[in-house]
Formats: sequence, structure tokens, C-alpha cells
Amino acid sequence: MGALTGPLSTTQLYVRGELPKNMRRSFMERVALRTFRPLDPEEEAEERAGWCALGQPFDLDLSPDKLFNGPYLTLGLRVDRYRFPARVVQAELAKASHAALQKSGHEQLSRSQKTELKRKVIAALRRRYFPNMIGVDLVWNLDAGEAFFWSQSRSLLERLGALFELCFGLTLVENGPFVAAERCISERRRPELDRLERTIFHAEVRDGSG
Amino acid sequence: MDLVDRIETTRFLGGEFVLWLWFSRDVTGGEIMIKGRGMLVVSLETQLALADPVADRERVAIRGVDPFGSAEAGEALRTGKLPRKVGLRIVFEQDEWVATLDSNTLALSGVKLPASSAQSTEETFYERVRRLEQLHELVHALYAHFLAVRLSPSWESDVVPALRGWVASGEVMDEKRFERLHSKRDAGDATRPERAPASKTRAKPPRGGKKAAAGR
Repeated sequence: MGALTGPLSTTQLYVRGELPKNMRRSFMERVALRTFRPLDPEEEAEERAGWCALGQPFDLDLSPDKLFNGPYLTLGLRVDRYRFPARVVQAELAKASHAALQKSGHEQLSRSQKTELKRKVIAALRRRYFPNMIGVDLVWNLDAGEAFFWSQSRSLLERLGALFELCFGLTLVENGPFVAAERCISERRRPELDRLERTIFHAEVRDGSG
Repeated sequence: MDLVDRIETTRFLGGEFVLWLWFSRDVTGGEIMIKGRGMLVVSLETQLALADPVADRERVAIRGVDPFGSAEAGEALRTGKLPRKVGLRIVFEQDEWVATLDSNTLALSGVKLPASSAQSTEETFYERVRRLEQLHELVHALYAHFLAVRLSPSWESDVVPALRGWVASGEVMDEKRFERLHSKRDAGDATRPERAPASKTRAKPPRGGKKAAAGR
């Protein structure tokens, strides 16, 4: 899903808030703090999001020449998540339970033993499999205060909004009928937008209203 | 009202905008003069999804050469549905963009950009982003053009009656009158509605636009 190749299905976003002084240096420092850190199978976290290079989810070495391209700040949002099909977890758990019962000689496992066993099964699965990875490009026109994100997924947009705000201290607002309207009209006319009502075009109401 | 409420309570503007585009296409053949920018040629094609603005799950999806001229599309409009997703082609100067526009969010998907001569990765990046920005600017210019008339008194006095007639029977407004209604509008400045001439509308073949009509 990228700025360089592939389909162009994007979400247009507007950046709200003031850019810092010494913007390049400030942004480099901020991005470094939120660069993606791969998940470790031994840790508790099931999911993590962070920045990567544009179009290169595995490139986590974010140097200024990768970030700043003309008027654009370019990044990738990388989200990794461990997610195993319930059937796989159940099958592994059944196998582990059987082995534990044989070893202990008991007829059944206690609740705490089951919880511990499940934790071990998940940890073993994490060591065997890679997490699911998603990389989505973000191109921010710093002059225009507009950005394109190469996805329209609600959950990814929420992820992006949260990370962006944490990282840059700025808010992303999605384009849409109201936001676009606000940008089209003069400030003194904006209250008119609040008073607008939906127009009915089909005959039902037209006949009723004479 | 906070921003989130405003965003939600004005989503209908997207559906009205696309309906107006559709109507404009039938009146002018898709040629829309944008002040300060020039002539845009807008075609609606290949896909159309209509949804009830109140009960969004009630949808009709039509694909084909000209779904906008189909009987199903007319029937959906007459039962109160508004366009939700449309196939859009915009020609501006020598360039052409194709995309699917979602009226609820004004998001564009499946965008096809004008042909590019970019060679390097860097050139490709700049070209793709610049072309994408241009497309959004054009859609915004069309939206601003619509909004100028939507916020003017002539929306209620002239445009809505014409749209209702078009929805009911395919009858379209006179092209010159349509252009007069839009040429003076500026989103920053509401003006008095134009008085309707004696003959406000003219009968046209069923909706489908000038090109479609010419082909019948």
C-alpha cells in the first residue's frame, strides 16, 4: 500500500496545530522516539505500531534523507500483531494439556495450571511464527498541512491518528463533506454550515409540501 | 456543537454533491466551468452505489457501461436514495484521472493517474503525489462550486425544484440557466436568488447525459 507503487486508494488528512520551530530537527527526534520496535516473542505485547521508512516496512533506520523529500515528510506506519487462529491455539493447548496430565498423573488441570499452559502455548507459537505485518505509507505536505495515507481502513486510521498525535503533538483530521466545506467557505459564513438541513429530492415530501 | 457532531450531521452534503454532479452532467454534458481554474469535464461511469441517507444499509449497486442512465438508478432516486459511491472521470486540460468517489467521506479509491514519463523512483514518487494532489484539488474545486450554490438562496428557489423534477421524470434544467446560477456564485459571498425565466426547464430524454442522449 504505497506512494511509490500499487493502487492509489488513499485518505486525505489535514494536519491541525502549529509546526515547531527547528522543525526538521524536532521531527527527527520525535520520529526516533516512535520508530517501530519489532515485537519480541518473549514479551507480553501482542501488537505494536511505529514508524518505518516509506514503502520499506523493514527499514527502521530513519535518516533525514528518507524522511524529508522536498516539501514532504514521508513515513510508513508499521503495525505488527500476533494473531493465531483459535483452532490452532486449541489444538496446541489440547496437546500440551495431554502431556501435562500424563506427566503429573492427575486427571485434570487446575484453573491456574490451564492459564499458565495457555501462556506457554502462545509463547511457543510466537517463537515459531512471525507476527502479521502491515505497512502503510504516509506522505505529509508540510507546506500545505495536508497528508495522504494509503489506506481507508478505519482501524488503521485510528492507529495513525493516535501515533501521529503522540509523535508530533499535532492532530489529523480526515477530509469529508464538513471539513472540505469549512475549507471552501469564508469564516464569516461557517455558521451557515451548522444550519444546513438535508434536502429531500424525491416525490414523497415534495407532494406533501405542495 | 463540537467538530465530531458537525462532521456527522453534515455528511448528507456529500450525497447532495454527487447528485448535483450527476444532474450537472445531464444538463451540461459534464462540462463545468470553475472560476479561476477553467473547464473540467466530469464523467460518471461504470459504477454506482446508492444508499438511503437515513437507513444506510438499504443500498442498490449498479455496474455497467452507464449505470447512471439505467432504470434502476432512476427508481432508486425516486425512492429517496442518494449516490454513495460513483465511478468518476475528470479531464482537465490535457490530463485525465479516474477514481471511485465515496460521497460519505469524499475519499477517492482505485485512482488512475494521467500517464507518467517518470523514470527514477524519486521522479515516480513526486509525480504520483503531485498528480494525486491535483486530483484532490479538482474534486475540492467541484465541491466548492457546488457549495457556493448550495449555500445560496437559489438552492431552494431554483436548484432544488429543478433537481426534484429531474429525479421524478428526467427533465433537466436549461443549460444556460444552470450556468447563470453557478457563474456568479462564490462560496464566500451569498447573493440573491435568480428569478426564474418563464420557461425554466426543458424536456430531455431519460437521465444519462448529453452523450448518452445523443447515442439514443
